[in-house]
This record gives sequence, structure tokens and C-alpha cells, in this order.
Amino acid sequence: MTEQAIEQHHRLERDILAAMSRPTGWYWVALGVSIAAFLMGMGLWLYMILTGMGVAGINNPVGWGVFIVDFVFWVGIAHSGTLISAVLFLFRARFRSRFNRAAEAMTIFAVMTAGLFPLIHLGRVWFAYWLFPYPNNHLIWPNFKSPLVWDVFAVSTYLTVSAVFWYVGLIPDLAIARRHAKNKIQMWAYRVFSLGWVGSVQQWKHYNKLYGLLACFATPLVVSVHSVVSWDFAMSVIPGWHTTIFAPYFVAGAILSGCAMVITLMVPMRKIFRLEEIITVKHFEGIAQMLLLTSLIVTYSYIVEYAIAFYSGNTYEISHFVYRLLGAEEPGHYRYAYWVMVACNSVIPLLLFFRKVRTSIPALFVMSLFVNVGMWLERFIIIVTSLARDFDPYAWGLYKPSFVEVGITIGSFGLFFTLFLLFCKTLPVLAITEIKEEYT
Amino acid sequence: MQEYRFEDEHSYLHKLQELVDSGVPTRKIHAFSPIPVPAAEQILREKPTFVRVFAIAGALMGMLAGFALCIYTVLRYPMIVSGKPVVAVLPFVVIAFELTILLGSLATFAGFLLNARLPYIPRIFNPDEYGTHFTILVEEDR
Repeated sequence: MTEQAIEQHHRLERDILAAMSRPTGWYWVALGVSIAAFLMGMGLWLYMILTGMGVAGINNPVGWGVFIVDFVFWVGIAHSGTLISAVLFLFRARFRSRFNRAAEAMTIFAVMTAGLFPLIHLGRVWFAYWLFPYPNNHLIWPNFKSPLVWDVFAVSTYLTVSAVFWYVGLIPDLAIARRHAKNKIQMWAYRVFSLGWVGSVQQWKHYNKLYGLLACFATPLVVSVHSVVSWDFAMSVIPGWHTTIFAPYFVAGAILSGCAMVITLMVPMRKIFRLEEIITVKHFEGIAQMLLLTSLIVTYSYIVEYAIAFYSGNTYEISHFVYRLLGAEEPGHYRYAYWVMVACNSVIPLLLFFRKVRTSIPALFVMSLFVNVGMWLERFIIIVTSLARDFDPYAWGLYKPSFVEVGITIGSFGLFFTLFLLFCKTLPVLAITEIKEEYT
Repeated sequence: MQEYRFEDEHSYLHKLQELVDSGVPTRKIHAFSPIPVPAAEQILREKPTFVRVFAIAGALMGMLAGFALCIYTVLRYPMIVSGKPVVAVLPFVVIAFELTILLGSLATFAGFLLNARLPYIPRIFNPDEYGTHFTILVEEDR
């Protein structure tokens, strides 16, 4: 290790931990707006609880609306965190160390946000514990053949395992933060949560094994979670849902949306905390390539979905997919949603084939916003259009989100950004130890 | 207690090797580093970690618990749902899989804490700080 590397180690600690220094005015503004949005969402939820589910736009036949769209959207966002931390760890991708901490934090906050939506959608939220298997005086148990119960297990496992994985990654960094603590509360918090870590040879030995094993557990988990979410739909017989491609299609989409959200969060963070020297354009290029790859897989899935529908020869499937593509004559039929989605998820990311776009941070940021919108629309199209037009024309109907649903959606963004902003100021935003390893 | 501090990994490893070669028993050498240094494990002839045993035990327990939970509960209230057999293994695989991962990860984490002796309460109150230094402590003969 050279003099230069030693100097770099000191600089890294200083620069990364500097992000945790006293927040500026803009931070408070951002936090205030996020909390206000979250409180508005909670207020609307309370209104819905007191008034009844009628204030949501969901109806018969469209019984799953924006709440379920948001649930799938946020679970999807969560996926890239574990992908970046676990899968890329196993593949030894170098650019991962710049994103893994923030991406894992994003995962946990996104799963927490996602977890709210089934509760909101339940209506009688105070019976939420019925979803879990527990001995009760009715002597009944959840139906383990139902994908909705699988979902409970998958999402709660995902939240627990990604929280453990995140915390394990944090332990050596908390020990570093412990040395740089500015006040008593901080010092004690870091002391307690770093568990008395000193970095002895024995500790590192067990630690490295643990990290590798957790990555091995998390990798199949990340694939399973969105597969299970997709089976919430694919296990039913609704045209547009009942297809075998759903699991890989959803997983690819989840990673696409997650990578986009990582870019959306990391670009401003890098700028505000002046981490340009640590997170370079080269690292962003790595994640942009992943965005391009997953976008191509998603595009392929869009095509295959149509191929499956038409090849099946099933009238309902075919007419449903024609409806998705063209809409109906009358207005209000989600006619443009599909094309906006294709533009956002399939066409715009093609620009990433150009190196100039891949290495331009503003271009990546704008593109990530488009993909976020596109992926939300994808879930909307899958869930809502399928329900709006199933088998019997007599049972067809339309759905429009009500202000309560829109408000709660905005509130979920508020919650997510609130948690992320708090994370930025309380924990090391980059994996200091891992980046140090690269500099030796 | 003799203490050696180094700024960099190479002199640290060099000193470790020197100490081991000069006949200091490895149990008397305590080495600390700000980043993982796998070569130090080899020099100190560390035994492989037991953490993986916890992983396998936890994963197996999770799988069995998943199947047991599903099968036990359907047999307690045997109701035919959508014409499927009461004990339907295929859907139960999903639950068993999730619990395999859940208990496997938690057991691995618990195994790590046990093996690495964490949380170590005295050090929480009074942390030994070696900063960015690579440090070797050698117990002296009494």
C-alpha cells in the first residue's frame, strides 16, 4: 500500500462522514415537504378508514386499483438494492461498492412503504394480523395455497433479510463513525450499534463468511419475491394475468425500476454531498448498462406477452391485448397509457447504447425519471386494464383513481423520501470499508 | 502487552509473519485491521469459521418448519380449496422456500454474533480504537 493509498483512506472517511454534518437549509426544506406529503397521505388514509372504502375509486369489476399498483411499484423499487448488494457482490462487479449502501437503504424503505399498501387496501386494517398464521379460537389458519399468503411470507422475509444484510454491512462503518461522532447521543448510538467491533482477524474471518452467505441467501430471495408478487396475478384466470411469463417479466421490471430509482436518488446525493471524486462517471456507467440490459429484457417480455396471447388462440386473451394496445372507441380507456409506457421503458433507454448518453449524469437522471414513470404505468396497465375487461362484456367497467388514492400515493413518496433523508444524515451513505479495500 | 502500529497492510503482514516465524505462539498475537486482510488469517493459521454450519442448520430448520406449518395447519382444518388436494406440496414449496431463506439468514447472523463474540459489552463502553492503523498486540511472557 502506498502513501497515496493511506492518504486516500483518511480522505474517504472524512469525505463520506462529512455528509452527516449539520444539514443545510435545503435539507430542512426537502425534509419538511416530504413529511408534509406523508402526513397528508396518512390523513387521507384516516379519512378513508372513517368513511369507508367507497372514497377510493375501486369498483366492480376493478377491485384492485392504485393501492395495489403502488404496492407492486414499491416492491419493485426495492429489488435493485438487494441485486446490487448481493448479486453484484457474488459477480464481483466493481461499481457496486459506490451504490450498495444507499441502494440497500432504499430497499428497506421501499419495502416498508410497499408493506403499507396491502394494509391500506384491506379496508379494515385492524384485522391485518389475520394474514399471519397464529393459533386462534376459530381454529382456522391462512390458506397456504393462496398466492396472497405467499406474498405475506415473501415480503416480510424480504424486509427482514434485507435489513439484516444492510446492518451487517454497516457494522465496520459504524465503528468508523464512532470515532468521528460529534456529540454524546451520536457517540453512544454508534457505540451500541457497532457492537464493540474492533476488526480483529477473527472478527473479519467470521464477518466475511457471514457476508458471503447472506449474499447467497439474498440472491434467490430477490428473484423469489417479485415472482411471488407476480403470482398474485398469474395464479388467477383473468386475461392479461394468467400467463407463465409473469415471474421473470416482473423480476426484470423490478430491477429496471430499481436501477432507475438508484440513479434518481444517487445523482442529487452525489452532488449535494460533493462525492464526485468517490462516485465517478465510470460507476454510473456500470449502473446505466444494467438499466439498458433490464430495459431490453422488459421490452422482450412485452413482445413475448403479445406472442403468447396471440399464439394461444384464446379469444379473450387476444381481444384483451388488442384492447391494451388500442383502447376502445370511447374516451377514458387507457388508450395512451400503453404507448407512454413503451416509450419510457423500451424506447428512451435505447439511447443508453450511445456512450455519450451513458456517461452524461444529467441525461441519466432525466432517463431514470422517465423509467420510474414508465414502470408505474406498467403496473397500472397490467392490473387495471386486465380487470376492466375480462370475459363478459356485461361485466366490463372503467376505473379512475380518486383524490384519496392519488393523495395516498403522493404520501407514500413522502414517506420514502423522509426515511431516505433521515438515513443520509444519520448513517454513512457509502460503504467506507469496502471502498477502502479497493484503494489498497 | 507489546504494540505495533502500521499505516499499511504490507508492513503489517510482514511483521505478523516475522512474529510467527520467531516462535511467538499465535494465540498470543492479536491483530486488528480497518479492512479485511485474508492473508493475516493464513499467517496466524486460523481455523475455518463455523458460521456456515449455522447457515445450513438454519436453512434446513426453516425448510422443515415451512412444510410442517403448512401440512399441520391444513390437517387441523382439512378443507378442499379449488379442488386441490388437502396436502398440496407444490404451493407449500413457496412457504418452505421463504422460511428456508428467513431462518437461514437469521441463523447465520446469530452464528456470526456467537463466533465473533459480539456484542462485546466492555468494548461498547470503552472501545479500543486503532483508527485507520493496522495494529498487532503481542502478549508478553510472564
